[in-house]
This record gives sequence, C-alpha cells and structure tokens, in this order.
Amino acid sequence: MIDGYRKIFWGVFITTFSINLGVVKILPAFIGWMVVASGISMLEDRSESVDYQSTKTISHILVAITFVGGLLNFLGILSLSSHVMLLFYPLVIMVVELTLLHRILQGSIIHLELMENKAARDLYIGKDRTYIILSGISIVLVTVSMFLNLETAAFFAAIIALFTRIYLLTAIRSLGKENWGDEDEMEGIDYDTEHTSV
Amino acid sequence: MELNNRLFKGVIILIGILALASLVAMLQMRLDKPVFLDHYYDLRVHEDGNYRQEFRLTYITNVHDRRVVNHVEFPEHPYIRVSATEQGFMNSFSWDSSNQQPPGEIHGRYSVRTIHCQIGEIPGVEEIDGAVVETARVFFNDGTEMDVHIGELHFYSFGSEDRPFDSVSSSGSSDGSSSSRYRAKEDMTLISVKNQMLERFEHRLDLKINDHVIDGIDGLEIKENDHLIIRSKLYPGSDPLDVYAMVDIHPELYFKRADGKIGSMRFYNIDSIYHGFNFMDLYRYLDAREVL
Repeated sequence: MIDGYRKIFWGVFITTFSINLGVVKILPAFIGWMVVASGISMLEDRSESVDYQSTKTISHILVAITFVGGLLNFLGILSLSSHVMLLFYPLVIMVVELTLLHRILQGSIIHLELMENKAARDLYIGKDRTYIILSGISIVLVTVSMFLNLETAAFFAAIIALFTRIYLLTAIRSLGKENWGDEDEMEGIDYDTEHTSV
Repeated sequence: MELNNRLFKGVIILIGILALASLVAMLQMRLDKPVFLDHYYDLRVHEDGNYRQEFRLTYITNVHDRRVVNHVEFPEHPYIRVSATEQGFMNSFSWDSSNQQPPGEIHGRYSVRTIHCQIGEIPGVEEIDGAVVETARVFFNDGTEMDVHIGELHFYSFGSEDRPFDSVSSSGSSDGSSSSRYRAKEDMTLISVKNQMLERFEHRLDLKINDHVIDGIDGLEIKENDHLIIRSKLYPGSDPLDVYAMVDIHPELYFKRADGKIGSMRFYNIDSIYHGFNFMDLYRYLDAREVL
C-alpha cells in the first residue's frame, strides 16, 4: 500500500510540476498519470476488499487524453485551433482528474473503515471533502474564464488549482504514512504512530 | 462519506450545466464572418499631395480569429489606393513572430480590430472630389478576402485657398462635445451649413454656430474681428446600431463675402471615433445587426 501511495504521490507531483528542457517537456502529464495508474494497480494488488477496477480505468482514460492533448500541443494544433470543442479540453482533464483522485481517496477511506481505523477514516473524509470543494471552485472559475476570456478569473483559477494540488499531495503523502498492516513495506519508512490523530 | 459522494455529484452536475450553457452560448455568439462597423467619414485629399490622410476602419470578429487584414481596396472607386495595416504605421517590426497574438481589444467572445488606413497617391485629385465609398474589399493574411459594407466615406479635395477666418482655438471632450473658435478677417453673411451625412445624425446632434441652430443662421452677419464659435455635441443615441457608429464628418459652412462672392469653409468638430467597447454592448450591437 505504501509503495502504491508513493507512486501516486510522485505521479501527481509530475503532472503538477512538469519539467521542461528548453521547448521539450521531459516529463509530460501523461507520464505522471501512467505512474498514478501503476500506483493504483499496486493498491489493487494489496487490497482485496476494495474494488479499484473502475478507478484504474479512469486513470487509463486520463493517460490517453493527456497523451493526445500533449501530442496536439506539441504539434501546435491545440494552441492554434479556434475550434470551440477544443476549448473544453482543459475542463475535461480537470473533471476526470477530480473523479480519479476523489475515487482514490474514497478507496482509502473504505480501506481504513474496514480496518476499523475510525480516526484516520474521518480525517480523510474531511480531506476528500476539502479537495472536492477546492477543485470544484477552480473548475467553475476555469469555465467562466474560458467563456468570458477573463484573465482575472483564469489567474485565480490557476492559484486555487495549484493550492488544491499541493493540498492533495500532502494528503497522499500522509496516506502513505498510515498503518496499512503490510509490515514488509514498513521497513525503512519513517512511521509516526500518532500521525492519524494529528 | 455519503455526504462527500453527494457533494462530488453536485459539483459534477454544476460543472456540466455550466459547461453546457457556455458551449451553447459560445456557438450562439459565434460570428460566421467579421462584422464591420458603420463608418461615416469625410476624408480630405490634399491637392498638393504632401499630406496623406489617415483613417481607421473597425471590425468585430471572433476572439480566436488569428487572421489580420493586410490590404484594402474600394471596388466602387479602384483608383483610390490605401495602405492598410492592423499593426499601426508606427509599430516596430519584430523578428520574433512565433508567439505573436493578433492585435485587437478582447471583450468576452469578441475581438475588436482596427485597420489603420492611409490614403496613397491619387492620379487626379479632381476625380476623387465627391467620391463616395460604401463597400470595401478586405484581404486577410491567410489569403481570404471579403466585400463588406463599411458605411459611407466621402472624399473631398482640399486646397490652400484663401480663407476669411483665422482659427483661434478648439477643444473636444470624450463625451462627444467640442468647440471651435474662429476670428473673421472681413465682414460676411452666413448662408447655410451643408453635409450629405448631417441628416443621418440630426436626431442626436446638437450643432450651434454663435448660439444659433444651423437652420437659423441664414443672414447672420459677422463683422471683421468678430468671433465665430461652432459648438457641437454628438449624443450616443438610443438605437443599439448608433452606439458603435464611427463618425468624423466635416460640414461645410457657406457664407457671402464682402465682395459678394460665395465662399465655404469646412469645420471638423463632429466626431465620435473612440468607443469604450464592452462585451454586452458588443453582443447587443451584433444582435441588432442580425448577424448572430
């Protein structure tokens, strides 16, 4: 479980802070989502009681659409095109992302519930709720800025989206530090027994 | 957790409704082709050819339209040649063309573009005097062209004939009001004010000469050294189509000079060419033009 969350953490990290070398993107977003998909597969392997199948499918969809988007962007089609449907591309990505990450958090909450770790479960229910609200606000702002070409709305949407990602990364990091019962993975991990009550 | 799922569904439904509404509105507001504003200009062509009159043609297009106009012709009067650019004649050239956005003011779904035109050399100035242009053929940098109605451009020749007035002062305001003051160099009697486009704006134009409405100036005597004060105010008008009309008309004041000859002089204080555009007014204007 811990390795799964670690991969999800680094996958989301890559999609948030993509690294460019000149004009070439070394780690494009779809690579990050591939890492997330691999992390979900690890969670699925370790967790027999939680069904991660649909979450995995959503992650594959995200890999596919970010790959196509990255390709169109590389070819200059996405930035040059005035086709109205392509304007909705960022919105689609954000909605699928929200769905995927909400489902990952939801799976973790179910797992903690089955482990009867009520304190940790309640903590992540709260984090999931905050994540949904923050994401919702940034997506609404993106929609408004896209429609009205409002740079101010786009600026605030970007700030909130970045804050939401950082919040999410801390939540996933903290999930990786929970006691999931797989002792073999715990070796070498800086485990804090008081963590869930924080 | 149930609350979170409800919240998630609510957010998705809200975004779905918002996105759908935006999509429908975007498609409904989309223009099939650029829409040119109505321009009512008097344009002078100097007889000596030393000064080339500039004027602007303004059009509205979709916000993501990357084309720019690079040439303009007037099919009704092909001998009138103009240089045309959307960058402005004083704009410096840049080698970095990789990330250049088309010029223009962005307002919501629309971009308001200005074509800067400069009248070129004209073979016979007499030929152009009185020419009226209503249609322009505009050429875009992607190779496309279109014929558009642009309003009325009235060309007239302008010489350096002896004028019986000295200009003293002039002032103008962004609210459409302006004032010009002249001093008479000789005794004269005013006759009338004429302009082919005045009638079009009489419902929203307040024009007075020495505090007399223009219909009441016939016979008004002006003595040597008297001041001639022309005040005008062009009101915005209630018709949505009036809001963005580009106006710069130069009415002609006719008078009888001391020697009995009839003379005339143009005055230049009826204009409205700088508009504060905004998305909703643009939408109302385009709706009134029935192009949506």
